[in-house]
Amino acid sequence: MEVGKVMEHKPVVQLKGLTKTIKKKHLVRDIHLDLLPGEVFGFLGPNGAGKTTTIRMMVGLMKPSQGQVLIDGTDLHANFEKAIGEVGAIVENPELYNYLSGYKNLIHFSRMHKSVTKERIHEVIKQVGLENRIHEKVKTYSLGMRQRLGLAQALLHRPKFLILDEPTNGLDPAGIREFRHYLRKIAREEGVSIFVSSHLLSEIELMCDRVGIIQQGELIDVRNISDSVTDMQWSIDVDSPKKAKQILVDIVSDVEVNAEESSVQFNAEKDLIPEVNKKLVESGLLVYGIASRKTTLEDEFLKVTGGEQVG
Amino acid sequence: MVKWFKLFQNEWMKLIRKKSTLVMIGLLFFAVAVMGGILKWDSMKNPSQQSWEQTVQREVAQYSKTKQAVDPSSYQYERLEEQLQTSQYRLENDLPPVQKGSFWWFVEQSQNLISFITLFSIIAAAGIVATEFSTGTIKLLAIRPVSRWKILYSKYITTIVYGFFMLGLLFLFAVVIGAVLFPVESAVALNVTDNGIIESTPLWGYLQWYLYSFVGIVLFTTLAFMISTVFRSNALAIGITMFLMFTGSQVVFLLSRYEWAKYLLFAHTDFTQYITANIMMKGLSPTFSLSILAIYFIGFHVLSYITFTKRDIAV
Ligand SMILES: Nc1ncnc2c1ncn2[C@@H]1O[C@H](COP(=O)(O)OP(=O)(O)O)[C@@H](O)[C@H]1O
Ligand SMILES: [Mg+2]
Repeated sequence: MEVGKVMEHKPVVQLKGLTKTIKKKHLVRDIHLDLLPGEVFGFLGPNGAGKTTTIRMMVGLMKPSQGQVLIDGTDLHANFEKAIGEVGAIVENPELYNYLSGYKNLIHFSRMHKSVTKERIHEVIKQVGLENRIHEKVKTYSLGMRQRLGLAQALLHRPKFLILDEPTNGLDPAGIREFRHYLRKIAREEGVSIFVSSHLLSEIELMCDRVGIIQQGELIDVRNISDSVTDMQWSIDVDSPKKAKQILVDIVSDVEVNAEESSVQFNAEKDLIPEVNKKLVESGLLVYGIASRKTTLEDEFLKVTGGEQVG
Repeated sequence: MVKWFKLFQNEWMKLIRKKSTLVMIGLLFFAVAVMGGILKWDSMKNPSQQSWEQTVQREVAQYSKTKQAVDPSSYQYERLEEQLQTSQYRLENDLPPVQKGSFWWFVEQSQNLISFITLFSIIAAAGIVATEFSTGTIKLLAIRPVSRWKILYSKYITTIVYGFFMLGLLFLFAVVIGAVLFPVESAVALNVTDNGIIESTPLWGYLQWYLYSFVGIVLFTTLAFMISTVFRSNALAIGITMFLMFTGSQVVFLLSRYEWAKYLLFAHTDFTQYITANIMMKGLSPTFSLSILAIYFIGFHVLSYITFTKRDIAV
């Protein structure tokens, strides 16, 4: 989010009224979305919601029934070669040539881009941690290694925009954590805008700055989630909530008074709480209790989907 | 933008590194070797009973007989006329034709294996598009800064080059195995030109045969490629094309009484009919055949192009 704020660029990708209708059924309907440089955007929705269909349109595998995909201002369908040159993607599973080595696969894809050098290929192999097995045939790879190789082919040409469709399928928990850090790193350091789809709430929650929720082909909500991940919601019972608010506005944000329960509510990181407590006590207020509650995306997600479970 | 050669390099790499391709090359060598063994054994066991003069005289009789039934303005008549001239020339100048059991004879016999090459080309063409769909790799291929039609044509060109490569390999195998098993005797081939009859090495005639066979290979390959692209199915493309390859000429033969049969593709796919002058039906000539073939060829390409560039990829 920091990078997004600092750069404040025009969007890397714009979806304008993206719609796909097959046999009168709307698989995806009227999606409008702007993606910013350096942003990790989560595309969350249950299986069959239309995530992959949206992605297929974003990379030109499917032609939209209506609407437009702009990549760096270029219309994908009017000027395919130019627009897609800025995109790296994995659509559904990373299907590679099994009978070729990982290295040969990368050589293959690099030949289809203008300027991918041998050095760049080796750099990417190192980044995804495949140095040891890169000359072995892909058919000997585990699903996790295929995901890494899939990521490598998507990064070869230094795209401005990376699309990953359910990328953590087949990764173990350690692999997922590593993957998450890696994504954040390239988003932050190289200003790459990343679009990650998933049907798993916990995953999106941990790696994205913003999330869009898609259900039955419609984008029903887009919101920032970084605050709710790092910050917690706190509730402190005091004898005088109004006075407490005056003291706290300087240190924490969004202070609200709940007169009925005689408490104040606010968002803050955990580290701040001893300080908050000290201030209140020093001011002569009586503190009866401090409670924390992590507002997860799940609550919000369940709210917008009306209690329907995801995944 | 991206160089065609790089796209070709990619397709060639994917084709040549398939196990099935290595198996095909191995099979081809094996087939030539087995044929060499059998023919060697046969030519030792049954050496020719007749002198070459007798054989040529028999041919002359046959040509003359055929000629009487043929329209004098036709291509076939012209070719028969030429063959009669060369046979006569042989007898007059005491120039024996290529002898059974010799090196050149074996090279000539290798022509019978060209249908293997047609088969291999069909298999390659049937797989080159459909396999990308069945394995899902088409997705990673189609999201590159390369238009779909360029991907399609790099694949097409690759299959044609592959067919040519395999044909060349067959010729090479025939020459090598022929030289090992059979005595290399010099022989003279005769060609009728505007300046009379010219003597040359038989090599040119055999190369011409291979080249004429390539016309049929290209058409069958293009047909298989088209079916593979339209139906995105490897098995269907091989099945339909092979079926047509085996039945097509039979059907044309059965229908050859009808005037319209000359517009059928399979009246023309065997272009070597213009070397043997054993022409499938009346009214055919090389230019007419090439025109008909061109029409089918373009039709196949239009179908491939439209389906590959316009249809959604949802694998
Ligand atoms: N080519 C297609 N033709 C018809 N329906 C399709 C096609 N592809 C996907 N669908 C349907 O569209 C819906 C959305 O699918 P998809 O985009 O794959 O969902 P997700 O990736 O969110 O799981 C599903 O109901 C699926 O069955
Ligand atoms: Mg999906």
